[in-house]
Amino acid sequence: MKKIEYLESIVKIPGIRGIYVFDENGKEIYRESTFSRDKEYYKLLVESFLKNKEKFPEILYLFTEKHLLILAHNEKFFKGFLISISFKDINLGLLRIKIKKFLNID
Amino acid sequence: MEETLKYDPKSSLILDLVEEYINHYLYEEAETLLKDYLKDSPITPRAIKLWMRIAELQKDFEKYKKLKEKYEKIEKIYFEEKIKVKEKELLKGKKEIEGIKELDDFPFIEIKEGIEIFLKGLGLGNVKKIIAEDKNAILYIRKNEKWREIKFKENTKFSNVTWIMKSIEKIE
Repeated sequence: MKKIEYLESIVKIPGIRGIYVFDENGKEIYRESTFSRDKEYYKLLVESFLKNKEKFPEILYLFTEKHLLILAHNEKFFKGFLISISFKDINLGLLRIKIKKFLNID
Repeated sequence: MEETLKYDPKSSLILDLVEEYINHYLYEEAETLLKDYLKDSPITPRAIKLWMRIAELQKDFEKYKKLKEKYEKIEKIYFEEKIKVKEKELLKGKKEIEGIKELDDFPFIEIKEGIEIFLKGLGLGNVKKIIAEDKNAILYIRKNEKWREIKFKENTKFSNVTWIMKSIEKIE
């Protein structure tokens, strides 16, 4: 399965509100979102993550009251940066497996 | 043989007596007894509540207001302590946990600002819990501006980490 097909299958998981993928230089390579004004807000997040990514775990799950923000990278195969936004009650097991597989596609 | 009753000023039964005095309109006596009791005993929500009742019945609203503020502070401390004890009980003996510590700030300070701007911009609120998944999984839980870090041993199943996170959430 190609990377893009994997991303499309992630988007189909019920509860997903946005998937953003950037290359190692921070250039947007994939974006599917239900938010209309998201672009202006993720710039700083992407920049600070790319600057410090060696300090970060492969997958970071950040839970708010109702949402789950996932930040993911993988130095071996996927050197970019993935952001996923979903509702907190999403099928986390399925989302995690799909993101992990995406990160490990050569 | 005649039995003698001993008066122990530290006994919590004193609070029952204070209540009894209040019920019999002996407000000054109730307050004196309560103050004596509090000289040697820790202040509890119940004791403050009784004191508030005395102040209210004496129509000393200034005193009532001050005691109410004190009560709210104490109740918060008691509530936090209760949660801490329950958490300790939950985590006690869990073989997959490597260590627990308190942090003064957000665990991933380098991206704190970026995350905050992003979440605020999209109207998603503040981060309350974090799971960092790497060789070791780490769970971070926010408690009154501080963060508690629960580090798991290598190869701990992700489902165990989320189970512990949800169990702690239930205590809250």
